[in-house]
Amino acid sequence: MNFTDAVRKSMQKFLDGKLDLKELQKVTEEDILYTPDFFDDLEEQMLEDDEPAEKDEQDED
Amino acid sequence: MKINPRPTLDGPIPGESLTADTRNYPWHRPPEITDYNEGITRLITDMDDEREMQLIYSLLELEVPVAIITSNILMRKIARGIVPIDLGILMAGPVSRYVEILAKDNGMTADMDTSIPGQEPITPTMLKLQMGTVDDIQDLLEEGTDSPETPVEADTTTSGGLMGAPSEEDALSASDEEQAAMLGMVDEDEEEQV
Repeated sequence: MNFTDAVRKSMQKFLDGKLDLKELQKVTEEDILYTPDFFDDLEEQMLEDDEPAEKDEQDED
Repeated sequence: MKINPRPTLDGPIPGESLTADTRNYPWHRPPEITDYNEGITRLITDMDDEREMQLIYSLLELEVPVAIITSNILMRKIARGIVPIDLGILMAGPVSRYVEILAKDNGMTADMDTSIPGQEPITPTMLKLQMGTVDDIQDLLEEGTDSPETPVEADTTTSGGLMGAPSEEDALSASDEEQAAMLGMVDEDEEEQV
């Protein structure tokens, strides 16, 4: 297995929510900030921010 | 211990590796970041750099899979000694997700395929795609039971092309007399007259 294959596997686990973040938390001794939920919220937020800007542009036209 | 009877003079001195400076390469030194949260924050911050953004958008526009883009980003960080390899692999998921968000934010579609080439799972859908529908397979089986088709005879009438056989019209054949002359079958008297 090469590095890219390992990246693919890790990606798949994270996207499926199977990455064991609890184990990771034990090592880091901190709360894991970058969870799948965090990115879902970030995505929503970023796409929402774009929508009003697009509407404003359309109104100006 | 087996002693080499002919030691090479240009070989390493025993224990030389222990005396070499291991600080020559960034990945020989302790990494800059070993914390998961800190590592991702650093990567996301670096990805917000204009030059880095241009690279990511260009790759997304070329429809490069996100796994390859993520691998590229992480490999550069590992090579510079910023994150260790194991942490890099753990960070692959969040980094790829962020790349996907960037793509969506710019109206692009990100290829999030994570299947390893050559190791795709065998599914009924995949088999259907590879072999066609059930009707197609039945048609193929029915065709197989018919008598074999008669072989198509090669078309010898047409000619042409640089490597094609010359047609009868184009054939440059010597006349009978010329052929006889070439074979030395001409009478000596006739030769003298000429």
